[in-house]
Amino acid sequence: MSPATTGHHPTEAQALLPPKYIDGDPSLQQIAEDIARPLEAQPGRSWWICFALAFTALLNLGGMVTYLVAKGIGVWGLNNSVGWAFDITNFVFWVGIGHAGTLISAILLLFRQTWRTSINRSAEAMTIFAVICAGLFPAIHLGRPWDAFFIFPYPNQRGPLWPNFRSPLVWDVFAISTYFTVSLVFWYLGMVPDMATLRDRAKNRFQETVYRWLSLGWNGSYRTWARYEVVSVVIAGLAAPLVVSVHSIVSMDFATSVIPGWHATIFPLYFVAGAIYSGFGMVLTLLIITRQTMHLERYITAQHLDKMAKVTMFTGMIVSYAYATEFFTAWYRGDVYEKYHFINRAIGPYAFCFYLMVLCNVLTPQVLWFKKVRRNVAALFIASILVNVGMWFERFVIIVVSLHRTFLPSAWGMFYPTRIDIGILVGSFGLFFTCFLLFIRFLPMIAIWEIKGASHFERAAQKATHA
Amino acid sequence: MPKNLLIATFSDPDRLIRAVRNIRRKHIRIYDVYTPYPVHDLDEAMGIRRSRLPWVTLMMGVSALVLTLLSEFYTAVFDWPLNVGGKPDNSTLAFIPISFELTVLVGALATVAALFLRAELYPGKRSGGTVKDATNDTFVLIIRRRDASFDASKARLLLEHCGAESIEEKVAEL
Amino acid sequence: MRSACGELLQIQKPEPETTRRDFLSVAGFAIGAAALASCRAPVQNAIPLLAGSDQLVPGVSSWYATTCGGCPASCSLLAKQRDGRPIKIEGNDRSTLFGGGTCATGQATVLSLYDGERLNGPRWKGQSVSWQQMDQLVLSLLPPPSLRQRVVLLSNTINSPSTLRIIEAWRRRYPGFRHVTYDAISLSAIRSANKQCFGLEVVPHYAFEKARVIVGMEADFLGTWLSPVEFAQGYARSHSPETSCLHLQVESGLSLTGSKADIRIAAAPSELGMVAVALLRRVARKARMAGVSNVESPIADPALLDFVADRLWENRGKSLIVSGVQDTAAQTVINALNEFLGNIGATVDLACPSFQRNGDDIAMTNLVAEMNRGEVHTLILYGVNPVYDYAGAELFAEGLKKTQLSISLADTRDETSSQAVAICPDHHFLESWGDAEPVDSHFSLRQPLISPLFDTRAAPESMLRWLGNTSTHYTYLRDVWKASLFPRQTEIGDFELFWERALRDGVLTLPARHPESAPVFRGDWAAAEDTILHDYNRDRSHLTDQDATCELHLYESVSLRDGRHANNPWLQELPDPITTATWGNFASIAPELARRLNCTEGDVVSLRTGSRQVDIPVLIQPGQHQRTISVALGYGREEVGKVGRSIGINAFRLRNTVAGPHESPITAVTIEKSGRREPIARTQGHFSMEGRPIALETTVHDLAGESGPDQDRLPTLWTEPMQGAHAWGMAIDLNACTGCSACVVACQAENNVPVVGKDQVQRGRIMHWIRIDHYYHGDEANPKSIHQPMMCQHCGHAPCETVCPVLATTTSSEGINQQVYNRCIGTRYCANNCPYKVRRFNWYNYTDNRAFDFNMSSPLGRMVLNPDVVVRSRGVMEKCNLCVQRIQSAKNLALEGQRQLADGEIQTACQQACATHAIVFGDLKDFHSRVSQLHRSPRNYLVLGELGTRPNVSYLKRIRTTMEAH
Repeated sequence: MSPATTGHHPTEAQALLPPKYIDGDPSLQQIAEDIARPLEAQPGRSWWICFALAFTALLNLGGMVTYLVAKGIGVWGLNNSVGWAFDITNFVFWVGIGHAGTLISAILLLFRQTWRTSINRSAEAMTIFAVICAGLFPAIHLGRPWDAFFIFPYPNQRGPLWPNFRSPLVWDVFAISTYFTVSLVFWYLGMVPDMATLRDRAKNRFQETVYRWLSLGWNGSYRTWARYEVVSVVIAGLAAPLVVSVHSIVSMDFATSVIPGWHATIFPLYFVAGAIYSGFGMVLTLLIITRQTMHLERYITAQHLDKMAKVTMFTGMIVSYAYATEFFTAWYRGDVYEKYHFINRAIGPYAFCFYLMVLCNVLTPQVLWFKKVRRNVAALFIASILVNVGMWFERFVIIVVSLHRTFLPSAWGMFYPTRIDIGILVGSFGLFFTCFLLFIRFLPMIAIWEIKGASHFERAAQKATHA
Repeated sequence: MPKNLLIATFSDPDRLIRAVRNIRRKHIRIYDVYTPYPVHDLDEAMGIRRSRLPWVTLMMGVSALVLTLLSEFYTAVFDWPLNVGGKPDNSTLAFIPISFELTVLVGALATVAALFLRAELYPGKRSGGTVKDATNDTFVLIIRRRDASFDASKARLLLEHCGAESIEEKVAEL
Repeated sequence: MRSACGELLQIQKPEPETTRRDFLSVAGFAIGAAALASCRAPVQNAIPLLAGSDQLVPGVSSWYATTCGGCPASCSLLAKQRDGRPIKIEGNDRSTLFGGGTCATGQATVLSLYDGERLNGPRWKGQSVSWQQMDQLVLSLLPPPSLRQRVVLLSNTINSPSTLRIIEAWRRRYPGFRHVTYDAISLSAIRSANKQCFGLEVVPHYAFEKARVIVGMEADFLGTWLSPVEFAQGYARSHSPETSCLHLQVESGLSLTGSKADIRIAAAPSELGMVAVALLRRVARKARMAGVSNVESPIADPALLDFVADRLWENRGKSLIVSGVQDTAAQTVINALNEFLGNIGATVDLACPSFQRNGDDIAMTNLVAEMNRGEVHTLILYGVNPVYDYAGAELFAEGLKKTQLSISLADTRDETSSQAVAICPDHHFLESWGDAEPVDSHFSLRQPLISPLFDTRAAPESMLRWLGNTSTHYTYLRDVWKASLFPRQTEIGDFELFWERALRDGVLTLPARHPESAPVFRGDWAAAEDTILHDYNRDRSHLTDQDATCELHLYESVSLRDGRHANNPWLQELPDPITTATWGNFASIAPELARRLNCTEGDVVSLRTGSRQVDIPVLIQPGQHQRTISVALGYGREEVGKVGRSIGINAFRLRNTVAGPHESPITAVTIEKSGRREPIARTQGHFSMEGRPIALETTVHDLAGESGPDQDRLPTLWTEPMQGAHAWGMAIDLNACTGCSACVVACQAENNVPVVGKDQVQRGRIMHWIRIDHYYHGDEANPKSIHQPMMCQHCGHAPCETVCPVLATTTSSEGINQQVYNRCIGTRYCANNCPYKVRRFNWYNYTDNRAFDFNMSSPLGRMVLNPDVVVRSRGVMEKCNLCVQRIQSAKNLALEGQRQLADGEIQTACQQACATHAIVFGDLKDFHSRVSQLHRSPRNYLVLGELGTRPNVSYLKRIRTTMEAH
């Protein structure tokens, strides 16, 4: 998407100096060169190290999942009281991560935020990989994964017997798969013109063929551009509600239940905010790594980081507010079970998870008030890691702490993770980073044509202001 | 089949726009313009109508919505009603989320499919090397000569005047 | 009959294994034997109770009346036979003694039948021999009668008339013969006290149903003591909410009975006598006895004792004091109490005594001495395991070596039989004939349901053989009945008819031998008091006040009892109703002591008494007496199958050697932390209700004000869905429930619930469909406690159903919350959303899985499975379904008979097993059904009803009599 759609007029420009999101004033040629470099050059040592780590974790995941499916869910630490723990925690965590990508590529597009141009491609990629990781867990957490297809409505000989459309789990299935498909399509659509660029830059026959197939014969015809932009806006318009709906539906897994600590109307808002919060945390982590390793400081500038830090802080504060509200309602409602649950959160056996969560999700965002911190890459990096840790523990607290002590004290229990639990969590990160590293190696991680557009717009703006 | 073309290249979009405007003022039909990124004010300059693709989205989206709701209603109320937690067979509210998701899914896929059909984009399609650099940093304007009445030299003059970098006539496949 | 053979033979040819048929999969000798056996079974003369003939219809169950061999209480049973295999034990409601109830142990005995590690044939010095060879060897070695050498039959309590007749024959044959009765858990003190007081060396027959006020002293009569099933049902009848009755329990460790008592006093073993004395003095004063001293007992609160004494006095002749204390003096005081209160002949029947515990400790002591002096030539061991459970086990083992011939008639391998020269394995009781006279003139018949699975022979038959008597056990038994019992009745003239009736009913009650001759009390209670005071002061002095010294209290656990069933996985995994601990025993210590020793649950401590020491994990037990440590007996078996081997520790080793006539066994132990830890596998982790209204109790007084249930009238957003012909529901009476856990095992047997083992239990993955929740409230030193059976509540608006993505759980048209195993994909969402946490998930494959090597993983063990209930695969959710298979078969019967289902015709497994009828199942649509009446009772309430789940299972509040109430 070119910022030119923002219908920018010089008159506005005079009012204030438009921010520059691209350092220096690279020529169109130069832009293509810079962005295509990682694809055409051999990857550096840092890339190989990261990849080795990630891939090992991925192999580990493969092994653990095989073992799990062979033996049974019993190899996890779950029990009669706690039926979900790491599995669904990881699921919600990864789905949440995804949301930032769609937010950047779709919602910020609709809000005409020019700064999104250099980060939306990688953010979308992150979305897709995160959703892949998320999708893994509902599948393997089943007692009988081989019967997972029962969830889909397909004509069958059993009546026919259909799934239970009242169950939030079925909603999940549809929400996640829709989310995945639409994100994928949107992502690919955005890459088509770049594929054409790469095709025309191709050094050898192989590259040429591959990119030719991927570019669908794009030749930059303006009539196509015109339709293309309309469609982009439409898809963005469709993806935007997904950002809100998907995590709302995930939150209903809990909100529609009767369990104290789950049964809360605040959940949808709370979860969406949390999702974007964690998502931006992850985007920061990834972009800080890639801009260093891939030398793209020119396109992913301090200003981008700054903007993202601000969004993180804002959503972080919504999350903090939600925490507070939960406690307030528990106290105000005066329901003995609800009340006990929240006391148990704060002083029960899992209290340390709760405080870790508060530390990471309530206190961390506060440091982002300071420009100094927002402009300090190292500090931002640490903050972004904390955000991710905090959000994982938030889901753990919501799921496990609610389940382990419900209505009848006789049925109270504890959950202790096993090696398999932890191994699969680590493995999911392996899957995620392997995908991402391959992405930055083989696909343009910044939208070339959008940057070109942006640079043109900025040049225009400069002219206008000097005039 | 090969066409008889007049190809002008520009390094700067503003010049391109100016050229497009002048050419059209002279009632010369522009075959097409090729740009590395969507240059704005061009559609207005070329007088391109707003695309009708959003209608596809609407149609498909709405039909998906209706169909989903209907099928959920049918399966839960008629095909095999079961007592699920004492809830009514027709728990419409519970049917909303899935209907919504499918609306979005079908809408999106249909739109993209429509785009590819309309713009004749498909895997493996060859784009004639004619305007190679258009995907890099060149802005190309092409006028197609249909009959003898077309005065090439006039057009050349005009384009040069508007600051075309190169102008060539060529018979090529696009 | 033939068709059954057909079915079973056809089953023998290998066919694709499916869970449905798993239970029939045939492999190995045992199965072959079983299959053939079941073709011949039942032995032609056995008469099924329900089916009028001995036809064996494949796929149709028939019921045989028999007698339990689980313990000497000898309850009358009905055993369910299906395709020639016994698969379920139930109580015989025709029994006037036991009613229709059973205990957990009784329920589990059917599994012991299919224990592949039972003794499978006669062995001589370890070599397996044929029965002929065995008989020759034995006969050749038995001393010629002329030599008058000692031949001793050492048995546990035998109350079988026919067997006793055989023993008589031995006595006549061998001048030197002696029959010594030894019970691991003996009541000899009661017998000797009764000899002194009444001149009758008997254990009286207690009539709890007649008692309005009950005082129990270290007697767990609802759990394990003497005849728990009989007593429990009597207790429940006398403790009905209508009658204001009082139960005081004085005990050191919290027992099942203590947890049920209205008022409980925690007293150390050495103090029990003093409490009895204090009570006696109060009662004696009321009875205008001369020379009653006014010295107060330092143990219990005088006001409380006054209160109890008043109640007792008000209920003269309608009260009952029982004590399990092994101390003649104490028992004399108890006798005096019952005498003064006019209970003798009313609630304490000495004229028609109980024959359920005849053990004679002194005779045993003497026998061991004789053996060690080498005076015993032949020792026949029958139903005893002294090398494991005798206080002087080493001594006994020594003596055993000194005998020329030792013969064990045990049915399973045990510590003693493995040391005997000859092992002549007995049948399992479901394979053998027999009879019993648990209480004078109350007879119960035992008949086989299946021919022996192994090469075993009924012990009485062996003893007949060695007398040279060639008649089979069956004919002998029949003759005994013809000769001795038939004449005593006048009802039926023809013996054949009489016999057939006896076989059908399983029980026979004859007019008492001695018509009511009230025995006269001649006991010297004043002397007994002095002895008690003297002992008390002595014990005080040598129980020095250093922290480490405590008194030891050994008790029978509800599941394993004296340890004879240690190889039964159902019982090993049955949560102890008080502590919910499974798979092993532990030392219960008071919270206060735990603080002093700074122990937490699972810390291993060393208990030392004299030279003996055991290391055992501690469990912190509210209500435990502060200076007393309780340890369950029956664990730590070594010579037993793989299931029970070295589970827990053998606490019998801590028993101090009983010697001489004075039996007061006050064992002082020192306790000391070892630093090791050994987590205890408990199924419940938290025992406080946290002030939540879950298991409710009230008082007769408050009940007047109560209106009954209102939660189920909560408003709903939806119109109620269409209902079928019935609305099945259940009512559980917390006032009747004693927590005995028979229902848990019954459910496990009926519904093929797998055993998961200690590790899985520790991980919180027990599979039981019904659990007995146990809550404490009040002072931790001596809390009030309440048991609550908890299973699927079959909610009308079930939270579990809405969330299941695949409709694997829905509400049936008859109100049952049903689980569809083959549709379930195992998201566990339902379990998470179940407020009662009653759903159970198959974390692994529990069938045919080497990791879970219990009955469901052995072809023989699988024969106990109920063919009407599918065996669940890995990864699916399961839970209580109100025994839907029973509902269906009852409906089918009604349909065949073209009639309406009668109320009470359908009994769920848990309901059937319940001795106190605490569980009532029925049709809520039928306004007059028992269950709907109970649902309207003012005591009725719904657990968590305020959630709007609309359960079809409701509870009735427990009634507690308190001092305050009066």
